[in-house]
Amino acid sequence: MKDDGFRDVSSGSLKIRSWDESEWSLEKQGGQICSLPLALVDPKVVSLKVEQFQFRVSSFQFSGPSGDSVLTVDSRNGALKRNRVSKGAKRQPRKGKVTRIAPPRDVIKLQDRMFYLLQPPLETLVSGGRIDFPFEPFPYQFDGIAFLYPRHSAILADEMGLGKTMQAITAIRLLLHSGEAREVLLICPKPLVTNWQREFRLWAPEVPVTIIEGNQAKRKFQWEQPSPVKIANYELLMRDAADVHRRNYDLVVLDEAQRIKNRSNSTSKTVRTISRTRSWALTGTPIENSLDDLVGIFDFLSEGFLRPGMSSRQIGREVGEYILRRTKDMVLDDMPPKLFRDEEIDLSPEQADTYSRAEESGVIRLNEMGSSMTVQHVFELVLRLKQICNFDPVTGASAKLERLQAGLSEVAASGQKAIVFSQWVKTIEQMKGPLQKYKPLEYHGKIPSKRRDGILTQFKEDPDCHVLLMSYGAGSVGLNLQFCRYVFLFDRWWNPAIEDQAINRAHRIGAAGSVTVTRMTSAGTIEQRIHEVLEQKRELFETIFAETGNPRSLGLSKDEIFGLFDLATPSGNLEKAG
Amino acid sequence: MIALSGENEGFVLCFVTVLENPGHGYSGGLLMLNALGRPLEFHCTTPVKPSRAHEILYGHTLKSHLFGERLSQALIEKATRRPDLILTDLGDVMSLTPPEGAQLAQLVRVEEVGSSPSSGVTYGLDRSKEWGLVGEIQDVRQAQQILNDCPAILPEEPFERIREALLEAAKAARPPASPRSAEAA
Repeated sequence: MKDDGFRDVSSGSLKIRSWDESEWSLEKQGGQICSLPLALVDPKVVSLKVEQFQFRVSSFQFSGPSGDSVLTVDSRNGALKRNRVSKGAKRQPRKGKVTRIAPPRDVIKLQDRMFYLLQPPLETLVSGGRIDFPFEPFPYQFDGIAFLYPRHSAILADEMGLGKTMQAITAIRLLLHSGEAREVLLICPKPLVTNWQREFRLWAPEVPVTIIEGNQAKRKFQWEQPSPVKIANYELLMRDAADVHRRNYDLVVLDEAQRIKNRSNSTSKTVRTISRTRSWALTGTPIENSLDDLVGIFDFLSEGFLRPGMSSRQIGREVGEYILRRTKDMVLDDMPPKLFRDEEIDLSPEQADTYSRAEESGVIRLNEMGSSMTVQHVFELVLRLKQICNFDPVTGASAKLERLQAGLSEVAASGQKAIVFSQWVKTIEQMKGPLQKYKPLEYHGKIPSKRRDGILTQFKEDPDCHVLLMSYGAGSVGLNLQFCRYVFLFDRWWNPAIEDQAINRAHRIGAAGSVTVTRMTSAGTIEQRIHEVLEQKRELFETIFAETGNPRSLGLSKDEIFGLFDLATPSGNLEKAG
Repeated sequence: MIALSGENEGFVLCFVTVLENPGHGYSGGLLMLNALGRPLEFHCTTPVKPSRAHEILYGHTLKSHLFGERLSQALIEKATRRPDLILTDLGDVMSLTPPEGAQLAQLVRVEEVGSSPSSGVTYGLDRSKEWGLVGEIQDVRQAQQILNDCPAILPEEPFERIREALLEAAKAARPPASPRSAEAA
């Protein structure tokens, strides 16, 4: 122990007395000694291991034409070619809502899902290259395009007038530009072929379209030639089934797809056998009469996906991914209003007399038929009575016509145009003479298809033509007559959905203003009874549709047709109306 | 599919961001676009969750190291094309080393950085008063020019695509094997 080196290191309370290598000796105040061992101990090392971050990189390559190209036709073989668009884009996308393409649930592969997720918003696609629109689409139309584009099976079931044609054409256009489709077959009712042709010229002017038409040899040649878009009507498709089946189509689109609602009809069978990669159906009325209509359409999209007899809840659960339906009320806040005027018109004395005799004798005859009476017999009586409500068969008197003339005089005086719908061509022909001063044009099944476009053009452009007389059958679908602000339903169709289609020729996007729909009904007649039944059903439909999204039948059932005359169905007692 | 000549024509823009997936960590995503906004390549990482040791030792430099030097760098190295511009919406990604010839800039909301950003310079985009670029002055000037030449691309929009794709990839991935590192399925 060493004493030297003693020093006071504190304020006096604690003094180091001695230290050596192993120990310090400290003296507290008062002489108390304490010792602190100083022996070195081996230090403990605590290591903090910092591992490298570990991760993997997944890569997705998107090769091939990516839309930065324009489509041209190879002059030698009509095939589609792409040319590069020059560096830089054409115009800037608008700000605000962007519409993204979401991968459908049935796209499983991550690479494929990424492909859709990473696509630019549709607004950018459109603004980026030479994909120009003649008009600015509505946001809901972008949604519709984004719905169709990635889907291999889809039903676009927008209400009439919302632009299903434009949405389908644009989605087709994007598929062609991206190289995902090279051959598209579009099938539509015959009267709509030229309409589709026109719409393609408007919305996709760079896409070559082949109309399948002409004699058999010509059609055979057309079927064999590659073409980005072929348009055929249902009737020709049936005749050319053998030629159609020789090719595989990247996409087959059925317009007015309710045509195939009956799974057993030949049209349905034929379209189902077309070799194709994608299947789209367009219809404003996916369910016209019953849920089985939808089953029929789905048999084209994916056979067996739905089965007849499935409950509405089951169907609703299954189809949600594949159907997009919007109504005007849902998407267009600024759509001009549709005003309904229900006009109950008393029959002229001549009509009333003829009507009451026809009804009385008709009902007596039905009762006499007893159990052999069928719905067809009742139907015939209804039709006969409805015709009398239009025109008295003997004198030609028509209270409705008088009312129509009064209405048309107002329409013409204000420089407007009107469409008059009837169930019968004969009624249209009867109206034509008395309406001459409004320069009426006819559009119905007896007018050859070749003349129909010319008639529509004349109606639109000739300021003296104030009225177009149309049959429900010929004029209820696919036509754009939004320059008309007046629609007259001279007689009523059985199914409100068909009436809606007719009305929506005028009340659709681009409508110049409110559309006034005059529904003419003869008071105290079968027409009024039908109207009441249909209105009740419409209310029921709206209630059900709002709750479940699955509409029910809108037409008249067998019981309801019998009920028009207070007749029981043949299995029960038949009684004369009381 | 019809082949296109001059596949590499036009600008190639690269968008890089990192997404935090709560409970799993950080995933990096890189999207390469052509001048029209079409996807050319997409690369993403499996999620990485820094450990407590990482947090202690890297301190406030952790995100810069992880986002920029690790995740983004790995993504850039996987890319098969050489980008003309690398754009990120995160300052922590700016520590990556861009390939030669590529400009690097951060997209910022002008209102968030104000007129005097902490580093680099801010350039407003010609067509957007809302968004600006931060980075080295030479990079930012060229980035601004490139973006002005690609008007089809809204510069903030591709990041949303990346985030959605990262979420999609996360859904497809299995749960991470360990708290520190997760391996995608």
